[in-house]
Amino acid sequence: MKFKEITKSFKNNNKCFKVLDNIDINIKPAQIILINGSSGIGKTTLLNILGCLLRPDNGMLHFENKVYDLNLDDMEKFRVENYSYVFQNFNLLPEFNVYENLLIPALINKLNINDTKKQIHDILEYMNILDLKYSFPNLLSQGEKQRIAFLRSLIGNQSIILADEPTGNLDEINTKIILDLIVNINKDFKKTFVIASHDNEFLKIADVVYLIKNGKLVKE
Amino acid sequence: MNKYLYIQRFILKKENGNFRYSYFFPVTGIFIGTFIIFMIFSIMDSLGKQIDDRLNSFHYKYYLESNDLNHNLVKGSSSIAYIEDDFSEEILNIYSISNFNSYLDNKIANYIIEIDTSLTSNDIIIGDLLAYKYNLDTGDSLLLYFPSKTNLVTKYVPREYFKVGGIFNIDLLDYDKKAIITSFDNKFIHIDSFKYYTDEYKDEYRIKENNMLSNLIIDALNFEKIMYYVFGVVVIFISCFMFMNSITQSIKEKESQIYILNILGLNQKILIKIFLYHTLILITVLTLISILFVNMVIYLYYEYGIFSVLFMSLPFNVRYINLYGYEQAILLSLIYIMSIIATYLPFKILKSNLNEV
Repeated sequence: MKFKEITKSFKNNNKCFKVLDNIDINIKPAQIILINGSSGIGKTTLLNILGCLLRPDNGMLHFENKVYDLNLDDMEKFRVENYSYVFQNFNLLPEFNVYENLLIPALINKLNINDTKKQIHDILEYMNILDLKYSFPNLLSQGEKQRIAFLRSLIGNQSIILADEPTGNLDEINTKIILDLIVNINKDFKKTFVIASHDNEFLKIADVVYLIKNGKLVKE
Repeated sequence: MNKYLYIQRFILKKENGNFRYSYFFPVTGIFIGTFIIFMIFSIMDSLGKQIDDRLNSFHYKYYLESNDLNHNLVKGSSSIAYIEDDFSEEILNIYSISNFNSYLDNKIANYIIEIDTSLTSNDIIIGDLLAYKYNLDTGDSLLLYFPSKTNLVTKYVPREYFKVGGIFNIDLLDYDKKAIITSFDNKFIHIDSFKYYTDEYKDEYRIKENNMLSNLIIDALNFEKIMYYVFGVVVIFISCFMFMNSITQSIKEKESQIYILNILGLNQKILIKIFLYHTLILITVLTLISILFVNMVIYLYYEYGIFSVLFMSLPFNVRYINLYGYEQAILLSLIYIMSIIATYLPFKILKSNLNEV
């Protein structure tokens, strides 16, 4: 998956700020890619563009002999098929319990429900949190919520997981748990991770590290 | 369980899976609105149909001035008579009909409460209020005066005794008090002119509608019914506003969750579809419950006399309602259209606020 010439500007008080300037990035299967940089530098913007949640001013995607114009093409189908997401604030649905939160992606994307139910059981067991199956998100700790959010990203069988500051709201212990989880998921499920974070702990597990400087992406 | 059913719960629930009680009020409003509409429908429909039935049982629908085509039509006339006793006198209308026996057996049969088995063409049928007032029963005699045949020289008013052959109770206008029915062949009735009557419309007839007054009553009833419907629709309209408010509120409350669902693959079109399905299911259920409640109220009245305050003063029987008929279809369509608009509008209004991916 190759992204080419990604450019994004924002307007503020009639002034135009170029956040991303002609960025190219390759995403290879089963890699853990870290986009690092200080706060406000454009990590989340880049992640959202890579994840087709935000349209860039300019940018192309080359994938499986097809070229997509990220500014013009409808990327919804592509997005749903290839990406799952993990956010800093977990984004679990408070109306549903853990089991239902995990089931919803399968329901929305018309996956086989019986297979998904078995998969949910397996991954809850894999994480040793089967007892949280029927708990509601508000009753979970921050670390538990983030683990559930990671588990949800596994349900749709998308190959790439985009994580935006996944440890931003976590303490050291939970950060360590999440780092281990990412490594294990990457190893056991062959998932690709693209992580935007300023947390240097991710440097320990990342295969590729990019740094955003003055709107440019620098490989470290 | 498919995603549609699953997301219904998303609309109905709040944090920790608890029910959103704010949802209860607009739903109650819509239920009350539909209940009022169908209760009015039941009462007005019964009233209209029963008055129509009584009018058509007493009168023929059309009349012809002449029977040029020599069809087998009913001959009839109406004349004035009066009755008097020591205390009062009463002007009466005498309706004479050529097919007297057939008329009694087929048209007005449901409203005859007493009939003399030895009824002849010279006997008369009177209303129960007239019979009550003059203490008359079948077999009794009644003296009628015919003022239109008064001899102006001698001032003699022709008069005849008639045997009461039957009593009817039609409960319509003042017919029970002032109408007398007899045979066209009654030799004691003074007939000046007559018309030809029929219930059957045919293009070759130069036909006129009978009973202009009755038609006016039916028109007035229909107008009244429409006015009541308008009130009911206003109630539903207000409820739909509440419902729209509730939908808007739930979209605003759940804006971040809608964003999450969007990221998970649920686009806004599907979300609107889910909300619309939700509304359609809700309205269908509420409408069915309303109809069930209306029929239950009527059943309780007939079986146990409950709600008699509501129904006792009505001069007719309230009928159970069903979902067949064009009026019901129009009412249901109105309810559905308004609630669909009330569901769809918030998405249009809040479109800029909804962070669709």
